Amino acid sequence: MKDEDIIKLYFERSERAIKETQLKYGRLCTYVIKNILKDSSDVDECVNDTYLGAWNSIPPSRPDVLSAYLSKIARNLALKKYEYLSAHKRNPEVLLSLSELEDCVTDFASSEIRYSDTDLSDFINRFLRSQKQENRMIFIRRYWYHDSIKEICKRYSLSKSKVESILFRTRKRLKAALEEEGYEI
Amino acid sequence: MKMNKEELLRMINQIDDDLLYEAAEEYHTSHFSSWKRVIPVAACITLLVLGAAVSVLRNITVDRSHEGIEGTAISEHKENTEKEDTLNDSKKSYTIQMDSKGNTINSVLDLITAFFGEKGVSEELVIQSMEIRLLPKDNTVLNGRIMLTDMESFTDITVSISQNKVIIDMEDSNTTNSSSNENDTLQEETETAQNISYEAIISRINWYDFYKAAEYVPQIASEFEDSQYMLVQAELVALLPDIDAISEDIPILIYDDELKTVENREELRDMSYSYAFFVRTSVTPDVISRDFLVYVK
Repeated sequence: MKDEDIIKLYFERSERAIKETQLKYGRLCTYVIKNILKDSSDVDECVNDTYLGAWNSIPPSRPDVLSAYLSKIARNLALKKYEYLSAHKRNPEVLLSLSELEDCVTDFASSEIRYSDTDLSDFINRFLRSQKQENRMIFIRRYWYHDSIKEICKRYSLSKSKVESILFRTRKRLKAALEEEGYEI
Repeated sequence: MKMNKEELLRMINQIDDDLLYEAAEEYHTSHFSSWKRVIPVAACITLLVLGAAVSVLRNITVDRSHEGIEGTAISEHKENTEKEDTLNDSKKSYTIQMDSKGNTINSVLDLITAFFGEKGVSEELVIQSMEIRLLPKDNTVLNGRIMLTDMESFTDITVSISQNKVIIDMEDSNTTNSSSNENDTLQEETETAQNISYEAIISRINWYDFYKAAEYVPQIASEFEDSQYMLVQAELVALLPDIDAISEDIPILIYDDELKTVENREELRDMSYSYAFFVRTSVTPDVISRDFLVYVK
């Protein structure tokens, strides 16, 4: 079923919307969540919460890209759950990918939020669009979807050293771009 | 003011839908591909088995060499080795010289098709395998190899393309098979391979239909302008049993005198078509592939 038809079902408040979402994007949601949470019962719970999240937010929302919309809900729910879970249940891949990204900043102590979502959104999307498609996709797979390096190598048929080098260089460019933009890091 | 960790993570959360979709698109493709590649992979294995069996035979009976005559538009020579007699003069090799500055994919396909017409190759010409590497910035061919079979005359045709010439080997497969009678074991291998290959052949793509639809290739190539190389492969595939099984991320095109994008997949359900095939494009060496499904009416 086409995305527009599924969204139409949500607007009609038809429960079939959930079923069709599950059929078409169930695997994608599970994949996104599994990269953050390891426990299968947590994953199932999060997947169901994702459908509920979509049900509660559409309408009024009318997503342009349903797959990305669902991925975002799934990821946010999984990250929230992740925060509350005990350390032994955490997926080390998420810790690893987040710690890699922390190379870009040096001040972790402050919890004061000073930059607006709009500014950050504008910056990161502009930065990613200025990168080569392959580098951009690998960056997003690693730091948004939390794919392991091994999974990225498999997905793009690249060697481990090449993926690591692409990520390293992209992080370096991100750091330089942040500085250039006036962000203190 | 220093950016802190939370802000950095918040920034990553702000990646927009289009970019997430772009990265997720590959996810769908890769899973779809695992389903979709079963048939082509099986066909490739079949062809490898067949190729191995045939090359064993050829190594015994024929010393294959290509000695194109330089300077002529189309030069023909028959192999005149002693071993060739074993094949009853059934193998011919042709060299077509092309512009050394490079040739577009379409001009190369035009040339090959014109050659087939000139040599009386029948319309029942099916592609067994095809792999052509292009330079996407101007669609010029770097190299390629196409294996075909004329189903009327049972002639095997191998086309080897380089930047400045095309070598076409034509061999009567019936005669090749008879030579294998000298060796019972090899004959047995050949029979097995032929049985497999027959099944593969009946579901293969017709060259002329592919040639007509190939005008789409430059359009595909133009999508990879920033890539160094592109590999174009046509892999067949028999009639697809279930349109619902095809990922919506795979663009579907239909060839009916002209190539059109299918907007509404529902219309494919009631449509009669000859067959469908995939055009797979891969950027090398980084191997990011995109597939296009083409229905030919």
